[in-house]
This record gives sequence, C-alpha cells and structure tokens, in this order.
Amino acid sequence: MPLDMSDLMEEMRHAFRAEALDLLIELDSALLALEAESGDSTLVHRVFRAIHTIKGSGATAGFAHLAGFAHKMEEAFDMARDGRLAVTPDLIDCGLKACDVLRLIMEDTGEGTTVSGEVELTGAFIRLLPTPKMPNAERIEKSKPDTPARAAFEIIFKPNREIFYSGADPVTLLDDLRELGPIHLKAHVDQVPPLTAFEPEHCYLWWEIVLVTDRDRAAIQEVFVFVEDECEVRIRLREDQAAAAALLGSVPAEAFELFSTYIIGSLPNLARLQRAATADSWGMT
Amino acid sequence: MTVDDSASLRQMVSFVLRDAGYEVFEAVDGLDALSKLKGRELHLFLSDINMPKMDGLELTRKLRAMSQYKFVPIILLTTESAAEKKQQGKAAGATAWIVKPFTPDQLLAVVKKVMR
Repeated sequence: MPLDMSDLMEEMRHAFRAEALDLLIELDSALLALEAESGDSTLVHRVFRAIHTIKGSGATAGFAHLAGFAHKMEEAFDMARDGRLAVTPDLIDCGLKACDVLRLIMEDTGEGTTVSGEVELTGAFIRLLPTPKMPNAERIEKSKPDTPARAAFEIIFKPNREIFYSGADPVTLLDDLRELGPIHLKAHVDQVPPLTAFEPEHCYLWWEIVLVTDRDRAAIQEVFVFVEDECEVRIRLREDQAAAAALLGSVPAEAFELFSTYIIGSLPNLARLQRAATADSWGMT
Repeated sequence: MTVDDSASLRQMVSFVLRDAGYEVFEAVDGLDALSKLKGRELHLFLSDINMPKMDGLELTRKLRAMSQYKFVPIILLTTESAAEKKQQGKAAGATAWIVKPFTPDQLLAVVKKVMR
C-alpha cells in the first residue's frame, strides 16, 4: 500500500512525543548526577546523547522549534564531552533549566511560539560557549558562462583501487550518470595487472564518459558526492558539442561498452598468462 | 538493518523502507546490531552515529572487519554536517551519510543511490 506521508509524519510525531518524555527524564537524571560528579565523562556523554536525540529525531519528526532550541545545548555538551568546554555549575544549571523549556515547547501547540525562559537560556548557552572564530570567507564560485540548455560534458572517473572497501560500487555511479542523460562510456583496462598480481577486491578500471544533459555541472558532481575523496573526477564542458551529440547518436541508448571493452582489452594478457601457466606445469620456467 | 537508539526514528526509517519493498531489521545500538546479524544476508546498513554501548563509527569498523559485510553499503545518519564528522565516517568505512532532519524522499534517494 502506497505510503501516505502525512500519516507517516503524524505517527512519527506521536511516537516522538512519547520518546521525548523518556529522553527528558534521562536528561534530568544525568544532569542531576553530573551536579554531584562533574568530572564523570560517562554522565556528560549521557547528557549529550539525550539532547542529541531530542534534536535529531525531533527535527526529523517536524518539531523544528524544539530542535532549534536544543541546538545550543547540544553544542555545549558536545564540546564538554570532547573536553573543549568545562563542566561548570553554570553549564549544568542551564541544562536543567533547558529541560523545563523543552517540556514547555513540547506542550505548546502553537509551533514556533517562544516559551518562557527560552530566549534567556539560549543567550546563557551562547555566553558559555567559546567565542566562535571568524567564519572562513565563503568560497565564491566563479560565475561560469551560461551553459546551453542541453550540453555535452566530458567526465574522467578514476576510482581509487580501494573504493569497494567503503561499500561503494562504481557501476551504481555510472547508472546515476545515465539518469542525467544519454551517455557514452569508455572503460579503460590499462591498470588491470596480470592475473598473478590481481587483487579481486581492488578496482582497476577507470572511465572516460561523454554525457549529454540539460542538468548543470553541480548535478553531475552530486553523483560523486559520497566518493569524491576516493576518486579522481574531472568534469568539463566539451568544446566540440556537435561531435559529442553525433557520438551519442551513433550508439544505442542502452549500450554499455564496459564489459566488452574490458574483455577485449584483457585478451592479450590472458593469452600470455596461459602460456606462462602451461610452461610452469611442464617445469619449463 | 536500521540501527538507532531513537525509537521514533527507527520507526520512520522502517516504515519508509518497508513501503519501498525492503525487508528491514532493527537494532537499538551497535552492540545490539552485531548480536542480530546471525550471518544474515544484508544489503544495507543505516546507522545513527551517537548511540550508547557502541556508536555508529565503531559499528562501521566492526562490520568492515567481517568478511560477509565487508562491502555492504553503510549509510550513517547524523545531525552533524561538519566535514570533520563526515571524514570520520569515511575513515571508519561508511559509504554515505544523511544529515538529520531528512524527509522520507531524501532517505529513499540516498538508499537508491548506494544500493546495488
């Protein structure tokens, strides 16, 4: 049965309300214990996890006001668990008062209405936190010339050999690219070692890709967002747009060169290895 | 398998994935997740990071050390979008991440992205 999103969110809100009551009890309990044992890091972690869950699950369940208020408290106790902020009586006192404010926010049906003590406590947490460094100047993307509505991009995609160890699969990325538009793939096998040196858990292939799409460069980069640190990815607008369109026009839309190119490229290596293996078995090496 | 100490979040993730046709197992933290593996063939892990007993980073490292789950995609759910936290996830062996809060559609989009 198709999921009714509004029903799902309503169920989640209901479930979260019940969960939040337990989390607030846990928060109270951990903070009160911390009053007596401020050096106990286990207690600091308990406080952090409780407020962290209130914020994260609350936000996901649609309690934006609650999550917004919880943010500074979470930040403070995140720093405290890392030892970057001292667990002082003031911090604990703010935490205990915050529990009361969180309860008020949960009870308040006028989502977004400021409740008693909220503003003062937010200010108190901000004062407890170290002065933030000046934010780095945002990188300003150089404005690029407007790309045509439909453009051909040339992409070089070279995964690191250990890419499989993060659970990533280059083929799923190539499938994601195909969803952006017609695509021409050329797999390169020049990095494939002889069978005797072949590690089955390594990726030896890399690809040259021509993609014609009406999406922008950011959409292409998004495909590689989870592997950008593990791959070399170069994306550029092809200079010869007409040739790119002609190239794609000559290849059936569902064609995948990957398998055939790999096999054809590997044949000389396979033949050489077979000869070497035969020589070994006759004791000729 | 979805791993989270938040019951409401586990419920949401399970609902969304089951509705999309997946079979979902649930665990409340990393240690619970390991105890429930039982050699099951699993195709995806979704785990919160901050959990009692065993956090999501440690769970990820443990799964990556197990031959059966070495290459299974692992998505970490986090409220922390800072690059440093993502790097910690990647260093542990995670495949991808979703930053809370997220909508059901966003969850499914990332799952589809990493699932074979």
